[in-house]
Amino acid sequence: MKKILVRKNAYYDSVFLMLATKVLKQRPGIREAVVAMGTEVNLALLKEIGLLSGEAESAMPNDLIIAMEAETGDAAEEGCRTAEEILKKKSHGGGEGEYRPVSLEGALSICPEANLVVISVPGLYAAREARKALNRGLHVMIFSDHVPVEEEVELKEMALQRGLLMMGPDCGTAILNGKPLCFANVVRRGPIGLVAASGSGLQEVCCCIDRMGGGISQAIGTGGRDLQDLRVGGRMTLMGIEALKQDPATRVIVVLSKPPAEEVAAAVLSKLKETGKPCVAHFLGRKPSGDLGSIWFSGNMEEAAATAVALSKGEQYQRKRSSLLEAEMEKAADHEVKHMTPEQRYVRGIFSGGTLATEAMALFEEEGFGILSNVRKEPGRVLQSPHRSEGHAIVDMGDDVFTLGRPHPMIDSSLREERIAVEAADPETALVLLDVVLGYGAHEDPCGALAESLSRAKAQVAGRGGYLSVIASITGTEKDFQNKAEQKKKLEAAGCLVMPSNHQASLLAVHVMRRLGSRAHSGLSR
Amino acid sequence: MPTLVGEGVPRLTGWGEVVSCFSRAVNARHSQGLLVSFVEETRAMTYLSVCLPALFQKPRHGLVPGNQVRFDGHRVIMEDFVVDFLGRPTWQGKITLGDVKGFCASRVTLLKESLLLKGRDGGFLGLLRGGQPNNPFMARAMDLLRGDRSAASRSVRLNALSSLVGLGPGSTPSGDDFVAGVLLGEEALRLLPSTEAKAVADNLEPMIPWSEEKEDLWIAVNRTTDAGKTLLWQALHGQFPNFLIETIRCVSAAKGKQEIAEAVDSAVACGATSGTDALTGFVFCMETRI
Repeated sequence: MKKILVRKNAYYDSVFLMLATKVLKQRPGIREAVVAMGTEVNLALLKEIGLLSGEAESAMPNDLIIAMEAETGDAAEEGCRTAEEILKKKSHGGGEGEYRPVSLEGALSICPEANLVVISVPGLYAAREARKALNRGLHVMIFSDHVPVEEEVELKEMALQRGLLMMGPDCGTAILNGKPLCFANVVRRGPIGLVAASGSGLQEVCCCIDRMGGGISQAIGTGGRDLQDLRVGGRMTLMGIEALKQDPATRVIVVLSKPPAEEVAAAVLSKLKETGKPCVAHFLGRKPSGDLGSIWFSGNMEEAAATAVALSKGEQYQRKRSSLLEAEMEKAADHEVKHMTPEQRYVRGIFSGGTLATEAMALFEEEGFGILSNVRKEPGRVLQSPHRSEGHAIVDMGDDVFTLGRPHPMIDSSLREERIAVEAADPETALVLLDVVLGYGAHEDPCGALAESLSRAKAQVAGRGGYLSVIASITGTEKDFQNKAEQKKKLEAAGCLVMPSNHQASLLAVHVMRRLGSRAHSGLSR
Repeated sequence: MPTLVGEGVPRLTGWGEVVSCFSRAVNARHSQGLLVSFVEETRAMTYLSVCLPALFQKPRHGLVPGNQVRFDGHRVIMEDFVVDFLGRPTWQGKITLGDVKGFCASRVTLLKESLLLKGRDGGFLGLLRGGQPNNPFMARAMDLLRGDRSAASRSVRLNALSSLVGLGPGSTPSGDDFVAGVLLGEEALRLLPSTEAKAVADNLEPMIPWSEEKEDLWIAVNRTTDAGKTLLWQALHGQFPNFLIETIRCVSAAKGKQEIAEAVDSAVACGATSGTDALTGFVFCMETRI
């Protein structure tokens, strides 16, 4: 069944036309949809593929043609209605009526009281925009990456001289005075202040604090290089700690980072001591080296949250694994391996958050599993191709190689869905480990999107006589617009085990893999 | 007052009509069928644009499609707006030797790699990938260009390119962006100094000969949309959109792969697939000739 609409002299922008095509193609029962201008060559092509008739044959180059092929008459009619709605919405100014400034000057003209600028432009231009903002006395958060380190140092120096925050580059999360910026969750306000050189890590710790009954005063992102690169030297982390020291609403300070440079770590610890407030430090991949006066070191992000919550209540955190939890994990792990085939022996982590992936890898390594990954640098631990797993593998799908020109997997799960299918097709895959991140900026129904692929993957493995174990954690809260509890139900309905934190999900995965230890031995080295 | 005026605009006289108003641009169709754009940022400049940030500040300009526009040489009148160009800086849209002098085969390869990674699907990027499923326009473009790289005859090659005009999705059909990219590549090669690349290029016949045969393309521009016609009309005059010139300049001067990737990143953000398609045409041309 074919349906063709023609709009005379239609001057729509290309982005709109592309989106209209996508929306129509996604309609149920629509086999093919083409939205194009009525140029001579386009008309000839549409005719050849049988999508041209009637009025459309005499269309002119500036006429818009919407051609659809549907499975049934009803689907075609529905497709037409959708197309009409899209065009109507656009002609009534959908998306264009409201003034959307495209320059800092334009934005400030409609919001002169703004005191912070979020910059998300190609990295090449980010520093220029940040300089403009700093010169106007505005705090800056640079979401963009690919900003050269020399420019980062220069910008952070500029900010320090002016007493301004310069969060980033590559800073994806912050909560300032209760206002979430970029990817952030709706969490309770309270006395715990955080400074983090990690976006998904900051989200995870904030959400764990919220779950444990604690609250956040400020969550300051610094960008991943702040502590790791000696040239940056922790400039913004040190400033963030100073800001939290001065903030009367902050009673406990948490610092979170991937392993920092030694000299920078020393400066950070010294600065933390200086605050006189109880502090928690968590440097991913580095084991706690004993507490240091008012500074408590944690072994994972959930523990960092628990320690901070305890300290905020004037208590001491007891660093012990709950035996009840351990017993439950043992039981769950026994169940998971029961129906696996002898071939199934590898864990495959498919992550959207870089820090969450790093935390999972660190735990597996600690337990003696050799993990290959696209984000590791150590020789022998780098996946030959990020697109193909081998042995035990944990992939950060938020890495550049997957996101260039495409939305981040926290926003669009389609690449992760494809990867789940790829892993399920590998008869050696025993367990798929996942993270799901909720909150502002993230996919509106991430678990709903993943659940279908997971069900298919499980069915595929079951069809071969095996069992695919899927373990996940959800970084989010019930107050996030996606609602953590609702999201959890969707994953559980697809047969996934959903744990309360990334650490616990990784720990359960380790329990499962330990049971397959002898099978997986050959996967430990390359 | 405009901050920058495309050199082509003061040459227009007569009437026109506002045909589209977007958040960053207002397009007016001149009676010759060319679109004149009033834009907020210099990055969006073309030979036929006027950078007029004041138009986009609050309160909104109030212009709507159908408003009449009077082109009066150094002045344009649109409803309540009188835009005077006299004494304002102008913008040519031409590339110079300085913009392209760093080009060589390895840069083209890096540009292509970045484009394949970052380019947007839906238009003609598949021409570099060797195909793209479910895109009938792409399949047609591949058919038309098949053999183009090896065709001995100028007229065969030119004919293939002319056939792409008006083909594809978008208000500026992908084929138009692609051909504009090819023309930019030709212009870059024409300007290159006597380097090895130039020497190689000199021994090849240009893809689009600078001769009467270009007539085919001049004729083809009348078969496409106003937006496509405007782009190609300018490209045939050797004038290109600012974002493309900036990209080529960045790639030519880049110190490494990263800078090239960032330049591509910025270009592909233009339009739906316009930036991607134009760079695809540019790479297609350079790859064939260098």
